[in-house]
Amino acid sequence: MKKLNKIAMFLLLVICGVGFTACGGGKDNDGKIEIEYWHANGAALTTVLEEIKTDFEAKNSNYTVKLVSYGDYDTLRDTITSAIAGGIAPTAAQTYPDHISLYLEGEALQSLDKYINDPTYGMSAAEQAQFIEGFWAEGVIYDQAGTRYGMPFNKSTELMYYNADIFAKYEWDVPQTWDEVIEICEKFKQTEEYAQANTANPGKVFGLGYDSEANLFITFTQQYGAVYTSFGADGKGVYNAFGGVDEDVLKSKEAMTWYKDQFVKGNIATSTAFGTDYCSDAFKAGQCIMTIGSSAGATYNDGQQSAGVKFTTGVAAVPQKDLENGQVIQQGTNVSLFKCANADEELGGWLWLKHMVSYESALKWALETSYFPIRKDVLASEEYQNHIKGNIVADDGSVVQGVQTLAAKAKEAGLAQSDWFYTNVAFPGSSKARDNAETIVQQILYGEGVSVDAAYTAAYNSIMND
Amino acid sequence: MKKIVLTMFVLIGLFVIVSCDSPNNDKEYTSDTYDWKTTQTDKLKLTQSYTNKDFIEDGIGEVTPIRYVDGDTTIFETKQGKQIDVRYNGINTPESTYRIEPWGFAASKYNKSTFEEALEKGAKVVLQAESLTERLDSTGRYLAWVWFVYPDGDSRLLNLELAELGYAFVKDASLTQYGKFFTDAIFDISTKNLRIYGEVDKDYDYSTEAKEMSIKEIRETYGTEEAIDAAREGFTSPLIKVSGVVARKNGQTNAYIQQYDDTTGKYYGIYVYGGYNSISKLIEGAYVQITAKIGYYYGSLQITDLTSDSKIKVYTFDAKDQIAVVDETCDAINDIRAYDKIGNLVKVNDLTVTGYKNSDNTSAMTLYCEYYDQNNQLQKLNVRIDQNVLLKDPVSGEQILSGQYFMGKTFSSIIGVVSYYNGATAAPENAYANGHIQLALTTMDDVVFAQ
Repeated sequence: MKKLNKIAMFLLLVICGVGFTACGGGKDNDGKIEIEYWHANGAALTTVLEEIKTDFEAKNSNYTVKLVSYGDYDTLRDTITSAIAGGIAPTAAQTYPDHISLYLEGEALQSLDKYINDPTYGMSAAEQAQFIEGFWAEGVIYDQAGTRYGMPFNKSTELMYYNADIFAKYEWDVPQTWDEVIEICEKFKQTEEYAQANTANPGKVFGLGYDSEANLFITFTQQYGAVYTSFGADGKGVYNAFGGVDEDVLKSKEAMTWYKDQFVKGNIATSTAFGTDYCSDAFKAGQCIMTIGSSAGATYNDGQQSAGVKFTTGVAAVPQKDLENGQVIQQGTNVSLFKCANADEELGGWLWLKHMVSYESALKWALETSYFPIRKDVLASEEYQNHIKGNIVADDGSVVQGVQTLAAKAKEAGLAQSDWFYTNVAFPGSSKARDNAETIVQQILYGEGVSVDAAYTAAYNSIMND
Repeated sequence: MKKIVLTMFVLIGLFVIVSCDSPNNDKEYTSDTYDWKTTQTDKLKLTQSYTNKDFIEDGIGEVTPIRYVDGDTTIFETKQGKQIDVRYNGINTPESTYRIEPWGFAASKYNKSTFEEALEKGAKVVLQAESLTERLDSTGRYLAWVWFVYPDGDSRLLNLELAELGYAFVKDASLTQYGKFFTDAIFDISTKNLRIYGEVDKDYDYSTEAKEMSIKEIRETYGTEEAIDAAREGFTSPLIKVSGVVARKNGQTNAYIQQYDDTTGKYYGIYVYGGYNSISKLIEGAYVQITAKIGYYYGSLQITDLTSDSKIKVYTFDAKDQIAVVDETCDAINDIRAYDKIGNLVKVNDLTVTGYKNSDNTSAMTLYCEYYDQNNQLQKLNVRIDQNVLLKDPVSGEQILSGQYFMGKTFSSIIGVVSYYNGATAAPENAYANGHIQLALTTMDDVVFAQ
């Protein structure tokens, strides 16, 4: 149903997209220009956004910002897609790379280069250099010309969380490679903790659980040296690892075969094995002692929240096949601007986005949410460094040091692996690749009698016939 | 060919929706003036058989509602007599329990009233799982489609209706069997900024200026029997600034704070809930000012919506001497009308553990205790150990995992926070039974056992 829905949306854009460029904002009752910003953040994050908005409105008296939350990224994407076709797109929105590609099909997005380079309203080269390179680079992956359609806003990565108490008890080193992970998994199977967990949940205990099956596919494909997707010579998207390029398919299959073999041995699994979308509950219940999940979801993996034996959660980099060629996903969203019939509204939208990624806003976002700082000056700031190290200064000058929260640990460990961040290109239909990546993993691990080859063939056919 | 036809069908369907949408200038709509329809909900019907099936075993089955928690969560009893917490699949309503969000109470009220109306019309309630593999949410609740099946055979999906009426965000629905209905259901209302999509909730306090209040004022304003009763039906959660010393921690992100009141010469306390947020400044002995909201958790007044450390100002870490433990008798605190004692850190004596209950889903424990009152009559008082609290045996250092540890032991003294909880048996007639006053234990350092 999902695919059908996307196809319909896509075709609709193609048919109706050109020319429907009115934005959802406009004049409000006070004669101010209203900027509509659509996003998918929940209530807690929206509270922080509200504060950023208040600050923007105080500094830009001609504008008001209307924040509209959809609470869900797929719903946000589908609604914007329909809104573009109906000529009622928002002024600006939170965007994933796949979303940007889709909106570009409707010619609905404004190139940010138009404003970044504006002598009055733009950003200096020094200002642009403040953004962390990997995050900033994701804004220009949509065509071979490198046109900018996004700026980073809430960014995260994957990390490995582990049960530090069990590791300490058995004096195990934290694994850095997948081979080391398997060694730990085999040792775990000999422990009393494994026996107890297996008695409580027979057949549902593994050394490691991976939250996102799509991320697992993409990251393993990258770690095995294959290209996941790319642009072809004609500028169109290529689904390399699914069937587009033989060499990449072989490497990707080798990666998935390895994962399946270890799954069969009871060493590693994914969230589906535990009947949930995430492994956090299984991790806290002792059904796995390592889990790979989002750095933004650290608190959900807090062993102190366990319903059984409480434990300290450790945080480490995602294990690698080759430490000399590390590959870790960077994830999270960008912010993008839509083409508006009203030039003042479009300019206002740009100013709002520029404000969102400014030092002050980015610092607030990095301090008050579980996302990374997107800027080097925020990263280097005293406030952020105190936050990340858990140093608290009281009004009377007294200091308490080292009260590092799990979320802070995750931010620290996440950015420490930033040299390994990879970015995939995005193009119309590239979201199909992600959907099918998840399907491949599920089929290989949990599909009855489905071979690795059959899962890849089915996925590639699905992508190409969609 | 079939696929193409289907694609075109959806395409046309979508196009109709978009075409029917008014242009961009329809800003004047409010939920009072909008012509609300439930077109998608009217169209969708339950087609799967549920006869002689059980929701847990078979993924579909008839159930009976036990308690309406909020807009998207209800506790049901299955035909097998098992009580289950069910989170409605595909949607997410704004909060109305541990924190208050715009439209949260409206969603909660609509959920409850819809059930009441449907049951009055003789509808059966049927839960349907999307699949038998991934059916739990991140907090261990069952995810389900909640259907009303009426005597005439008609059926309605409550999840979709809540979304279509702007009481619920669509959440993780797109990959499900009903995903398309949800996308279409919210398009018009969301682009017209109705209800949760940007409309002002008249029953929500949007003020950004926090009102400074003492804990005493908060207790006297929001902690009375009348206030707690009224809050069950709806509550405008105000933004406040409150100061106090962190008297006890309750896990990493939660704490009890305490403040001395000069006018009465008494101490007042209140629970601060930080939940899953990243909070590090609630350090025992620190004197802090917190900017957050007032809320209730199962009738228990608390400071909530503490979203980050930036909402906490630390005056000093050196205020341990301001933590006061008040000597009380069990009788004095075991009184639901003693509102000025709720939230206080107290020490009581001679309490014997005669039973216990370990929570099914968390590490929380309730110790059923007895004491003799001044008339030498045996009385009951519970000690509560919250799920966030880590208690260790003082000798072995092992975590205490069950209330069994305390069975038969007598606390010659125990220090805890007087707290109130009207959770699972919160039917109005039971709301103020003595079982709702508990002593919250946070550390074994506060316990002395009788030899």
